[in-house]
Amino acid sequence: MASAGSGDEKAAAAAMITLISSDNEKFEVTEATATLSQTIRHMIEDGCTDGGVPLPNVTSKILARVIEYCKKHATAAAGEEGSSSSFSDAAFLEVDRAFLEELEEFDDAFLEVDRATLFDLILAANYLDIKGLLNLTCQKVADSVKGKTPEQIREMYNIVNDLTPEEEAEIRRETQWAFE
Amino acid sequence: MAADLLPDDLLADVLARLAPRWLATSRCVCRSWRAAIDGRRLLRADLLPLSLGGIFLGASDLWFPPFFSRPSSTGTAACGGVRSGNLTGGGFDCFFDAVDAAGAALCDHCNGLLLLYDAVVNPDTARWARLPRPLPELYYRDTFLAFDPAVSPHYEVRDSGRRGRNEILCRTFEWDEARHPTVADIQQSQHPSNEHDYFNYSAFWRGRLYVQFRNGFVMRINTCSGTCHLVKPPLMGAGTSKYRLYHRSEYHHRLYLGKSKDGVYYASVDPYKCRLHVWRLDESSYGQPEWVLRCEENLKPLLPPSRSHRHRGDGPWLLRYLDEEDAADCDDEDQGQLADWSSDMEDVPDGAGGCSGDDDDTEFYYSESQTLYIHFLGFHPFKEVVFLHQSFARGERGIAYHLGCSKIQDMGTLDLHCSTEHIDMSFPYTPCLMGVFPENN
Repeated sequence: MASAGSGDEKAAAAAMITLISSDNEKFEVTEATATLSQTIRHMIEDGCTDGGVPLPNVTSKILARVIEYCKKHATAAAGEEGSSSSFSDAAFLEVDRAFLEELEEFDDAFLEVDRATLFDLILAANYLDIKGLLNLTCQKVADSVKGKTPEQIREMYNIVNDLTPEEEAEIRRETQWAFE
Repeated sequence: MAADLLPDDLLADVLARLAPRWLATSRCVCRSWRAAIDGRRLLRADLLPLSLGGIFLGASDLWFPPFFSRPSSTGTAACGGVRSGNLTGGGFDCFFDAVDAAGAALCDHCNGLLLLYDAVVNPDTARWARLPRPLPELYYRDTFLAFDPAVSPHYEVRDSGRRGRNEILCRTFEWDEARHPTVADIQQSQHPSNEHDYFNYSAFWRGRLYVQFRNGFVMRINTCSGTCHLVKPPLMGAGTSKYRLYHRSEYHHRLYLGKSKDGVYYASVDPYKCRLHVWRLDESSYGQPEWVLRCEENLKPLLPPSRSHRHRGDGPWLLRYLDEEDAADCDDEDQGQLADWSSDMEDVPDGAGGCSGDDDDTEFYYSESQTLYIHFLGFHPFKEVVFLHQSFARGERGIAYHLGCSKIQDMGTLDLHCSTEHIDMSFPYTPCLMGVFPENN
């Protein structure tokens, strides 16, 4: 809802979006950064981002991390587009590779968080519909499960085993090949 | 609290990324994890190579490998999958394209994939991929497949690295010099003259590839780390202090490596005396893995006498040629009898085999019914059963020997088309129906 008399202001801030966390903290981000989230992209398209976008499901702590991710990846996306025509193929590939490596390093460092934060990031990525972030965080959890015994997984994630001994025995019998 | 922290669909999104083996473990974590996996049918154990489909035979003079299996109406046997040809649309042709292009020279089998001279084929999904380069012709019998679709969709083609000629494949190997015997021992004990006398087998078990040397040593290659470890051959007979090496003179008394119920096994067959030794590799201790004698048996009194020389399909198992159109027809009349059997050797039917010696064909002349020799065909991958090839003056039979109860089952005729053909290698085949062909990066 555009308010009357703010035309100039609007033009200047056209590329900026305000995100409001559940604990009422405000974050100013560029539209390019914000639109990595499909949820926010749709809101912008529908023209309902004036006065900020309230995100009641995301705390300021998590939103700050999500924005950090989006900024980096938005820059990466912009960099890719911008560079494609101004370099020779070889040079472009070189830049591209360095870029991807840097991005990978960033992602690895980004995932160095405690498990509670990791799960909050998954929930936020899902809510905001940020495919890259959801993929990254889900894969991180999946990788942590890989190669572990059920006991180790339970311990790692504080999961209470609510299977009866009979059920557990049956599961092991059904897939004995995996427990050899 | 993971189960509570993530809603069901997100938990499923996480779990869907796991390989079958870790999905199976995850089902055992708690109820909500099991529900997330079962509700979406994430674990498709039915596609994994967890059953025996039959035995691929490599025979000299043959372009297409014959396949020995229990005739199946379910299409899980390799021939069923390949022959129906409509699984992937034109898949039938696809398999033969592979064989035509690559030659049908079988080099190895691992969990549903066949290694041909310059291609890897999944006969049951009729998909194949050409190797980046063909195997060096002289050495293709020293090249092995490592593939476990329960853990990873990628396969590896590995050279045993013994000669050090195939540098690319060798480079990743790190020899564990601290342990004995050393590489030098191996190299010294190789006899160049008999390098290509016969086939070397391999086994893949828990991420490790076990490769057999001609002198009985086994190299254990960790496919993740690339580290190697040499395992001494089993000791032959009590009081033997030296490892008996298998030289040319002992050609007929050779060792066969394979995967069976509890891991990696070795078998030795004395073809004329019909003596069978089976060892299991005990890797439970941290020290040197050791071969533990599992069975030592004189099979002669147990061997079934020769039946009359019958046509193919006279036993529960059927020998088929993959390029034959009518192969499946010849067992029609025996369907009723066949119904009780499975390639999986689930049961040992009472009275099976010749243990009692009162087989209905005993009126045949002794000279004709006498076993000339036996050869080893392979291990049942999931049961302590070995498959043998029994040769008579007239005709060949496939038989199965159950280690646990010392019983023998007759499987069916192994008479090949031409008398000049003989079986020189064999691979128990476990069909893998995973739709996506495992492409390597």
